[in-house]
Amino acid sequence: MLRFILRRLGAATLLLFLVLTATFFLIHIAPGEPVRLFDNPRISNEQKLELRELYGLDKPLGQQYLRWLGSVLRGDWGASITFERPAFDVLMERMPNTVLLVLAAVLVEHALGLALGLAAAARAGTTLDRWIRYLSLLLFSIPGFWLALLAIELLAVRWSWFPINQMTSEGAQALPPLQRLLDLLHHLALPALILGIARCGAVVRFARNGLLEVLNQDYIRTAHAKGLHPARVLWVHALPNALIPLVQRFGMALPIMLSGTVVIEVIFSWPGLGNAVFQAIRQRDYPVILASTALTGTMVVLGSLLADLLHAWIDPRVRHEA
Amino acid sequence: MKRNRLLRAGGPILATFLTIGLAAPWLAPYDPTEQLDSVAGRHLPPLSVMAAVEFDHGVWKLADRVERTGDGLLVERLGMETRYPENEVRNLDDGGVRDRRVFVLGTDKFSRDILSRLIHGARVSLMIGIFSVALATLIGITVGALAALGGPILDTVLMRVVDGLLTIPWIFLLIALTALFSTDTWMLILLLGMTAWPYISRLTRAELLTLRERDFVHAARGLGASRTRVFFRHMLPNALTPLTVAATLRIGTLILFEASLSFLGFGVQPPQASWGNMILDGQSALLDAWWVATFPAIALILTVISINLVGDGLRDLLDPRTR
Repeated sequence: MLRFILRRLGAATLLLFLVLTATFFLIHIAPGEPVRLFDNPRISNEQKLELRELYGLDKPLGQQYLRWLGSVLRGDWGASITFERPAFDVLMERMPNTVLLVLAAVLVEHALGLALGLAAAARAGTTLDRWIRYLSLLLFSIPGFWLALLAIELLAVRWSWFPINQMTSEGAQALPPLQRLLDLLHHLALPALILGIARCGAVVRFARNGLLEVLNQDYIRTAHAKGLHPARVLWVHALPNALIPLVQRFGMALPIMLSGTVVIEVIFSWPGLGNAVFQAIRQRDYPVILASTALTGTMVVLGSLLADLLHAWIDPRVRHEA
Repeated sequence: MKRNRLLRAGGPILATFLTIGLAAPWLAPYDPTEQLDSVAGRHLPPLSVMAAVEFDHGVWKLADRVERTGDGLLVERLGMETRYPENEVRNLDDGGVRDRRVFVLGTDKFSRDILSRLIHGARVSLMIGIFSVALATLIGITVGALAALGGPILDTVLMRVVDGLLTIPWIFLLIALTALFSTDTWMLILLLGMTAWPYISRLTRAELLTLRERDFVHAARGLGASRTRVFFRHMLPNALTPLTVAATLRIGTLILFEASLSFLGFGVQPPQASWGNMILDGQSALLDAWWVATFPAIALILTVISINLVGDGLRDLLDPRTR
């Protein structure tokens, strides 16, 4: 098991190195320069040359790459050109905010998706089943950003049930801890709900089809024949096996989830990773772009490794194959 | 019979949108980028009928009512009356002016006709969805086939490239690429197609690896068929069913993705209309001028639903295992 993990991590490190190298050359070769520095009319040409020298942008590309690689190996990702602080610190500050949003959204996605999917499977063929399937198709096809706009306009602007954007209210720093937590949850609710709802269509499908497949298996018929209570058959015998494909899906879901968060973070001005990277790309903030590629890449690699381990732990068949 | 229900529901909607997209230049009542009068024509509600008065140098004014009086043309807009001498107005007519505009779905903040933009947006969205998926499928099948049949070294290398592409969240990649390279529609199609193939290549590889061990493939090889013949005549046709379904569903994903990209201000650039940037235009006045963002959103949702219905329908129709 340990050897398997180490081999996967080794391969992933190599992979990340290649991805980063490709990204480095791509963003440097592409036309355009860091916007904040070079599109400012108040900066004279001499100053621009100085700035270029300061950030090492005047050197040949190969030399820049080696310099960058050298400092990365020493753990230095360079200074952000827009934030004027170490790029890695900027991202690490924001990472917990994104992790919080993603976790809350994943919770909503699976709670809602499983409830609907299992209800549909348990009542397969009925009107309820049909309507849940229509609903999941609709959710599958609705753009998340449209749902977010609508929710902000109605629930936040018109009825003021939720804050419009940001992660905390003004002056929240001064509140006692409990109220600060409530304030945070109040801000978290809408983006997490929207992100979760927009993505739960696929979970409904997975849960429904997974459970139906399992319910058709012989061992379920055996359990029924033994005279077990139907609820026990459903919850203890059928459900755990029906959920296995969902665990597998979980690993692939992280990069997709991060993609979805970008739009939601931008709409809600959520101070997360997605928002920072979005700004960095717009401003050609090379150090932040590269550091975020490394960070999201690491998260994705660890996420899929975790999903595989979880899968092996839950499903003995996988364990014995490996 | 039941299996056709999905196709019967999704097919006609999709066919309608495809027709609209194909015939967009002939169907759209006006030029989708025409900004006649961004003061009087701003955020007009659906079913507005306005008189269009033409002045010198291509200046236009929209009005609720025009009337010829003895000393010139009386132009009324929101109860405000203005008089212009006859020699300043270029499209005079017996009753007033020759031109008028019927805004069936209203106008946006630049007085552009929503219906015309919606129709041209259908063309852009479907074009991007279909062509970029076509490109992605072509690359995906090639890479998948090379990985499955080209020996273990090539397989490892190609699959690591796929893994690498999948570690970068797709939207970051696309935002970066569209920010770095200028984007007209074809460039966007190229960028989307060149980044959307990894899933297809994984699917192709998996299908071909299973097919390779099937009896009929062994039989074909045993009969002395060449590798090319075995691949094109015996393996590829059998892998096409799941690939067709996946590609169809992928069109929906890409249309939604292009919309989010355009909504973020990347992707299709104004003044060219796409459903995504139309929703962006309407974002600031979602309730006051609900028609600006609502109609493109409905079109987007209907299109993606119909594509998903057709995809699921095709799966049931083509794949006997799900029957």
